[in-house]
Amino acid sequence: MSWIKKWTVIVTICAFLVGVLLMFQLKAQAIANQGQPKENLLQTVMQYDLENAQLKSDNKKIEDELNKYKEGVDAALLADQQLKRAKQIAGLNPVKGPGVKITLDDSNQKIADPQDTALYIIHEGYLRTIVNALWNANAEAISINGQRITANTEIFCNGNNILINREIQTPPYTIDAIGDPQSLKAVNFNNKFDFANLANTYGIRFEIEPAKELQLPAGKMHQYTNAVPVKEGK
Amino acid sequence: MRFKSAKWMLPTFLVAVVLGVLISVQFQAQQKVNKAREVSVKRAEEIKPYIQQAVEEKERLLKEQKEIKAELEKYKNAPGGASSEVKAEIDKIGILNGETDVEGPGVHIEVDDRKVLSMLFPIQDYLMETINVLKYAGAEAIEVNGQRIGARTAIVSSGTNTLINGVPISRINGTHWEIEAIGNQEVLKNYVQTLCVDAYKTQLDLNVTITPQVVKISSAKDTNEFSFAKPTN
Repeated sequence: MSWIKKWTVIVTICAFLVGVLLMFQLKAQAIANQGQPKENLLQTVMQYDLENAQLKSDNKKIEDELNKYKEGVDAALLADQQLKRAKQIAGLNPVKGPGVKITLDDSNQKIADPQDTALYIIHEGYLRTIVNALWNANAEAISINGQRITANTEIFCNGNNILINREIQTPPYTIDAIGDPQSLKAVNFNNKFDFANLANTYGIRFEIEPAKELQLPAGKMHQYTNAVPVKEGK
Repeated sequence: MRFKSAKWMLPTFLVAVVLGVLISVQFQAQQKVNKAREVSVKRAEEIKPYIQQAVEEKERLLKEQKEIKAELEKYKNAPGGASSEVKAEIDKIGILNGETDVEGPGVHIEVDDRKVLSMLFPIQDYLMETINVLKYAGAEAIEVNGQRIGARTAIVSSGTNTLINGVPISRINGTHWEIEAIGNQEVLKNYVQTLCVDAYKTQLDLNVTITPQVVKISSAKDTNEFSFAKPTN
């Protein structure tokens, strides 16, 4: 047998073995990947646990309200209390309390490179990100330039301005948030946008300071033409 | 076949040794993977009854809530109670504060981001942007994977999870993100299509479907505590 034939046999055997190894490796990888959904199972458990805890708490509150009616408490008085609480949750009452004041403004610096113009101005995404982080830190009420944030409030880009509650807002943007001042001041706002770097490099203004007492205006009521309440027992 | 020359023996021997080692390592790795899989499957089997129990508990609590609410409605509507104006205002505010279940014409949006690398594109940002666009388009009530979007709703990532209203959203078995919104169907669809689908089409492999339909949105879970904000009137 010539040396070429000998090598052919050796290479064939090696290729076969490498093929077998590769097959095992792929199989092992596929099995390892199958393990992923189990993590989601734990996530599902957590989701149900939290939802059920919230439902229990809700049911207790509704039952307490029902018991007041059963005990003969004046229905008109109860409705009045309910209305006040509903307004507070909806943000339809002016409120006051401690919190933080955040100020953002466009840069005064001369733009070094026209391609970087966007880095010198405040964008609506900055405001949305800050508001989201404040809610996550248990802020109880927020307003931007005197516009109270409610469930229907949009923070939308409008060319050089920002629309909030359909009202045009211009910089500087002042965000007032009522809540625990220490918790709110400790929020890391730089997760998505590096405000510290934008301030240092491009000169945008980003300031946060605790406030002993902030006064926030009432939010606006939305006109509902499509959503209809679904009443139980009807 | 037999090698007449000894010069082939050493390389052949070395190749055989290397392959032998590789096979051995692979075999061990395979055994470990099999064992890990067994443990994983066993854990999943252990968790499943707990999930079933939690699902049943949720159904029971929802049924209980429905019954209490129905009884409460009877008392509220009894003669001599609150005026119809006050009741109507509470209902209207209930839509805004998310305490009322609502239904109406709207859109059902499904977002499948499984092909998008989360490192490059956090889904939380996309959800927040879509919600913002829906609000701008006049959406009257919004829900994401069963969570009502209220004024105080935060959408954040926590490790590999997404928390909405503090609740981790499960995406088991490849569940898509499901956004429901009530409002003018044509306006909602056009805005989302233009600003949240077409705008990203060239950048991301997102699969988004928008279906106009009548949607029902459940009330928010009551987590609105006020310790610092006091009414001024």
